[in-house]
Amino acid sequence: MSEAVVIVSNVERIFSSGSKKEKREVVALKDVSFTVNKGEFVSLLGPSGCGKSTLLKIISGLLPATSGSVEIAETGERKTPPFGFVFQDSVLLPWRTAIDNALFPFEITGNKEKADEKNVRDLFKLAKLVGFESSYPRQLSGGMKQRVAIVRALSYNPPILLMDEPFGALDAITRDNLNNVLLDIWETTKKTVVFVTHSISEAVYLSDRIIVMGTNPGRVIADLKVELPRPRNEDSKLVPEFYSYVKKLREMLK
Amino acid sequence: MGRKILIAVISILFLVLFLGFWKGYVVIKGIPNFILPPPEAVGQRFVSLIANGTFVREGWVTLYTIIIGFSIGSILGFVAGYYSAKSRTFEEVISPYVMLIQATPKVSLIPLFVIWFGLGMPSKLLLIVLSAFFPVMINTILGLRSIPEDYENLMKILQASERQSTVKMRLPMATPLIMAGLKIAMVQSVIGAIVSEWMAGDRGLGYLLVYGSSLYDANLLMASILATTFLGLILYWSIELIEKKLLFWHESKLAFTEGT
Repeated sequence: MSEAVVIVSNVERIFSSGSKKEKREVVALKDVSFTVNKGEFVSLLGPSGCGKSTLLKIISGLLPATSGSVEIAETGERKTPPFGFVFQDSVLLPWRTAIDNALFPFEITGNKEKADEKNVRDLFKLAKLVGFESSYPRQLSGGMKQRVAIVRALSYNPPILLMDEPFGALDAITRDNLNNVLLDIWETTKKTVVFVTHSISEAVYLSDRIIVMGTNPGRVIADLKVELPRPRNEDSKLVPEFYSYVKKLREMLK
Repeated sequence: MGRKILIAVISILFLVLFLGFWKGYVVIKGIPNFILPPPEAVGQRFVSLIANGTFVREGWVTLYTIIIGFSIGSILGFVAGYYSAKSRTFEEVISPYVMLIQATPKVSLIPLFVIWFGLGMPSKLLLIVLSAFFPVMINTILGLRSIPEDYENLMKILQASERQSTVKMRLPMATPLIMAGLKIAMVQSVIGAIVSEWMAGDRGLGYLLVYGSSLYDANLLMASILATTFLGLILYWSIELIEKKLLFWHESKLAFTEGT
């Protein structure tokens, strides 16, 4: 049942700056280990400066670890990239329409099939973007742009979705809406998700498990299972268990 | 809509007032023709210089010099900017020299060029190439450098090749600033062409200006100034037209496309 797809072992990351004589070293991550199972929604939660975004970049291969390793379980022969990545900004190409942005990965990988096009159309439905296919990014709201970014990340059907504070720049109401859209997409696509956030309630609402991180140096301070029933909706936030998770995490992060 | 008509009416009124004031000043003060001809005389001269082919012939000389010089200068500027943006070391090595040449008013080089290359085409072209080169180079560097880091990260996640990143992401992202550089380059090229024709030319609209001045023919001078204005406008508009086609998606252009 629980098949590990992301295995992070003893990852350490040191940023050094300054001259050779006066080298300044900052330990961004120290001895970080955890695993993410297939189909699991895991959040990395912590205050700014705890290295959670750095950790996500190391998992994705955008940054090397100073020591330790990240293993991505073999997902069979794939011609397309193993990760979808959603950034804090939508990072859409402004000269492409919403649908062309979502199909952009295929222009890079060069192997679009009939099924892929249908996959993207279905994702547009799930993301409630139908009718906006030919809109340019300038014409879309922040929340819509971020939904297009999520569709793009999933367009080539990668087994793992990495999200780096994807809703951090949005207002609270839009953020709640996008959380629900993300849950819908996740329930349908059954992706493994690693989600970086500094919002406690967002982490509790979305996740199966929360990796709680502390600062100085960035490290894992707890690995908490969230056992709220699925599928979740706005009502899930009203039950006492939800609040006890929030309270517990708030204590940990003090 | 009413506001647009109002603006048009006021603009035309302004022109009529200006011409009226000009004419009145010449008549009342009895200004001699060789100092300030009346507007209708300048207009007539302008039309006759087009009709007898002078402006077409001399304007063409200036125009193709600008087009050749501007093209060479912008292409070289783009290539230099592209490689400077790629390598910090290269950029840091050349940046003091670039600043030095940039701070030098290009037109101050013409007398030197005349000694080296004589009067005529080579001196003119060299000045225009130099005038176009720097704005394009600097804006290409700026454009490529100001791409947010996450766009690079996106391309890495998609396992894009260096070539794909450049063609499909970096160059389009840099286009707004490169186009801005081309516009400055075009304005500079026109100035460079006219000024170099004063000094080094025996042809062209710049030469007509000097010729008119030496004959105390204010009429010819003013008609020629008008011709250079039109030449500058046509060239600037051509660049703007290309910009509008390329940057239909850019925020500065979107209001325009939505309005039409």
